[in-house]
Amino acid sequence: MTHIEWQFGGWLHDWPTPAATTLIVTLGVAGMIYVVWFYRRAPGELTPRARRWLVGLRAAVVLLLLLCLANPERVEKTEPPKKPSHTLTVLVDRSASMSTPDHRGGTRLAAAGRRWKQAEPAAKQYFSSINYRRFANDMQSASSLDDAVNTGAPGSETHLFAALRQTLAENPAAVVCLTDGLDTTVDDAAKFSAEAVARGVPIYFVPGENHLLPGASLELREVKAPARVLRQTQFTATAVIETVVAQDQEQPVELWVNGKKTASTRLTARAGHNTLSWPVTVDSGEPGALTLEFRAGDQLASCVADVVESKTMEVLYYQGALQWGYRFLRGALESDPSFRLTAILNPALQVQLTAANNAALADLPEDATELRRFQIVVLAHVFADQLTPRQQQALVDYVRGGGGVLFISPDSQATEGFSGTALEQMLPVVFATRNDPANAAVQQMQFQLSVNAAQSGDEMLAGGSQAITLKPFARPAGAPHSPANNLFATNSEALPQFAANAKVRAAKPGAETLAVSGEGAPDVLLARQRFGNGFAAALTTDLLWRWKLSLPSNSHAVEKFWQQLLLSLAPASGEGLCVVKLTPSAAMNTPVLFSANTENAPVFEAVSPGGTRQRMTVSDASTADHPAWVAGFAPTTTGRWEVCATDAAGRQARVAFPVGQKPVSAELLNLPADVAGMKQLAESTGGALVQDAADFQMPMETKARPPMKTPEPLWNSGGLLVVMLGLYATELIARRRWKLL
Amino acid sequence: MSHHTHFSRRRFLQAMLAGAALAPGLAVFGAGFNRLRGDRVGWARLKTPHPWWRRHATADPILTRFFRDETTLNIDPIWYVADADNLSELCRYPLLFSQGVGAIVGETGRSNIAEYIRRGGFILVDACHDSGVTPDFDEFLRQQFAFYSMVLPEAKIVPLPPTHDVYRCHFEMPNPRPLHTYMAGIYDAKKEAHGLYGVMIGSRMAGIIGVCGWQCGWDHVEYPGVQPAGTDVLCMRMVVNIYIYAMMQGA
Repeated sequence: MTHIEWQFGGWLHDWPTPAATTLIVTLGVAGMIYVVWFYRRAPGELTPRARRWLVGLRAAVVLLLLLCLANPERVEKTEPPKKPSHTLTVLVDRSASMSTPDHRGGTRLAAAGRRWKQAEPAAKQYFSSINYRRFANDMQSASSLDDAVNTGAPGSETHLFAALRQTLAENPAAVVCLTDGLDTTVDDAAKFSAEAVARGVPIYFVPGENHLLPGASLELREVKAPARVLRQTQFTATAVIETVVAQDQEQPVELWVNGKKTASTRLTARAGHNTLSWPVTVDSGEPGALTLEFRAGDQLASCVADVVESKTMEVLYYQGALQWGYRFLRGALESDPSFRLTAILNPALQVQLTAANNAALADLPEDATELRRFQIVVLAHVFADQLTPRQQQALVDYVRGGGGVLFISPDSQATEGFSGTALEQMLPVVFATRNDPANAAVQQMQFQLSVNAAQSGDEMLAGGSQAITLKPFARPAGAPHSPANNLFATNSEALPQFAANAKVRAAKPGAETLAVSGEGAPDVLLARQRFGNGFAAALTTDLLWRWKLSLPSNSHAVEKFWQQLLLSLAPASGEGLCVVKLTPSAAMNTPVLFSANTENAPVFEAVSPGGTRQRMTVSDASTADHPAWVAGFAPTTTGRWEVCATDAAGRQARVAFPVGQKPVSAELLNLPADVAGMKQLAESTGGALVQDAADFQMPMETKARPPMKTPEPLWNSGGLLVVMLGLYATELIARRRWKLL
Repeated sequence: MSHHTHFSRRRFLQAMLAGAALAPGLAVFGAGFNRLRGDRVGWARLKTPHPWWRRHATADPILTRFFRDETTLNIDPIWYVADADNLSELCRYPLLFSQGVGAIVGETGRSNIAEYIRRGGFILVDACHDSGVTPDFDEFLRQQFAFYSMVLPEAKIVPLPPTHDVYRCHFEMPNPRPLHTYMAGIYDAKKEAHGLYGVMIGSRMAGIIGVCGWQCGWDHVEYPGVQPAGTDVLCMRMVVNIYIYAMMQGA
């Protein structure tokens, strides 16, 4: 819910409201007195009616001027969620883990039920009504606690966070959940915790515990790598691991590239169900097939990426200001036929060129899907108000989905306009704002440059001589080696040189600073960072055309720089050949399914622990977007099995996995109740862990949170200025008519 | 006589006009044209052994002001000198304006021009219409063509068709042929017959050669009558078009 209020802006913003109001009212009264006095003393014969008209017009202008001085701002306040009702909702976890008896025959459900029955009388006093629900794979209403506990069979999964989310959406006064705290889906606990805190509804957990011996499981769920990568670049390969553990522990994982161990780590797994992702940066090396094999525990999964010499790169270039950089950037890219450039010039530049191809765009798309056909979008000397919020959002979505954006601007006045925008949030740097001392110095210098442009008499006749000093890029101190560093060769000729740069406040944490200025306090000149699945980079200099003109024509340093820079930001193309095990837990004589992502049907083979090979039947499961082939078999013995998929080119990906007597699920692993997780979540929402009746307290009134404010200046509109001028002009005409002029 | 009678009708109208002129400026308060300008660039004339290489140069600020008024180009109002014998001086400017490169006979100057163009520079050659400066336009063109064929053998000189983007990339030229100016306003059919010639290296344009006398056009703004009204503006529009076209081609 929002409501509107007004406040003083500008220099009056920091004044106490009474003082600002007093000042404005005083000025207003003084202005009115002056206006009346002025027209009382006006010479000539004025009728009272004419005098009133003139006073009115002049007073209106004065009042509007005061309005501008007061700089009123429209403040939109977003109120926190409305006050909750007085209904208590009790959720009962009916998953299999809650119903599995220990050696004494006790279940977690029974234990939690006993605890809640002690606290229930107090709850009935506090709340006007109590609703009961049971949940496992989904949520259902129940008429009473007994109904929730006894009706229906236990579910195969625990959708704990989904059930809580659904309940919170109904805005109850409080929630009580009888559970062991183990969500066995891939739902993110941290994400739900943030949502629950924002809701402001206290959650109470009644933990269900018993004495089962805990088990554990590990599943190397998926490995991913791009289908094709350029030689001597870097790319990311990722392994996704699902593990269920009884207590917090570290899971060792390794990556082997072409049979050689190249990386390893220990992933932290919390007690319970975990989905862990391990992205690894891999050097592509020279052309050829690259087999990437991830190993975790007794499991293995591999995929294949092709390292190629070159590939076509579609570049979308968007220019916001007329400048020479485009000519030289285009020349640098066109020297390599694998780059294809599509240019958009901001319509305000009023430049119309015959498009070289039919792919021309009139303006930057507002939909990320239209950007997807490009690997890189270059934004050159763009101004914040040239890009609509939708265009900026499209760029953010495009990068998040795997695209690359290179933002180039040497102009601090242009970059400061992006402060706080969606685009800046994506970029690897925080731009200096108008009030930053460093930026002020640059603007002062730019201002002096512009005012010094007047030509002296001698120069008018003889012509001037332009002195521009080009400054070289420098590598940041202590920068680790990476293929991105290949942008700059070691000799000085290959170090880019620039004439001007925009100030940034800082590179963001996690961003990779590739170049800084070499003199004095270094400015960040070039930085990049991963954003979602793509890369965002900022080059805070001109487009380096002066550097190109300063180099011998047989030098290819500029071409190499631009091409390497764009390649370093380009998304990986498609996914390399990999096999995914679709059946989570393999058991003897139970079908296990696999899929591979080749264009044509691959050959699937299963290899038993004894080395016996068995060819599998393949079926097409492709969708419009992704090719997929599925095959399955039923293991005939326990032990470590292996499945290989070989594509038409002879490339091979494989998975190795254990086969047990019975399938294992997180529900039946007898994991201990996550008491610590429940306690933390409960306390963060203002609730508690209910282990006896005294733990259940009347929920406190939600602490009033200040509303969010969004101020928007109201005075600086063209309409208001036109009205002022109109009033003034009318007064002049009236004065003329009544012979006062 | 009362005080207010000193405010004449003329002054009243001036005040009104000033208000009207101010209105749009206030309406776009804080959103000045300058905001959209890119990095600053200089306008330079190529200094050659030709005695008239700086002919009309003192009027170049008229052109640069026109650039700033009519486009968002951040061009320096000063006109600069780029000596053909000084390569680093040439390379400070992405585009050079010249009275003709045919006069460059020294080896240094010639190789510098070739190197400048190979690095990505652009040269706009436009002959002054004064017969004291350019006695024979055909001969002038022959000199320019010969120069390029000698110092830049990879370049080809091609006539630009009326459909070319230089006639419409920023200003839509009324007649898709180059506008010519004439000495003392006397029409010269032989001169008029020449269009514009592009210096092409592969698919990229590295220069334009013409005998149109545009500089004479924008320099003669104070002598209306010799040229048809508006000639100065049309000349400057044509140069703006060529300049912007050069910016948008690959180097």
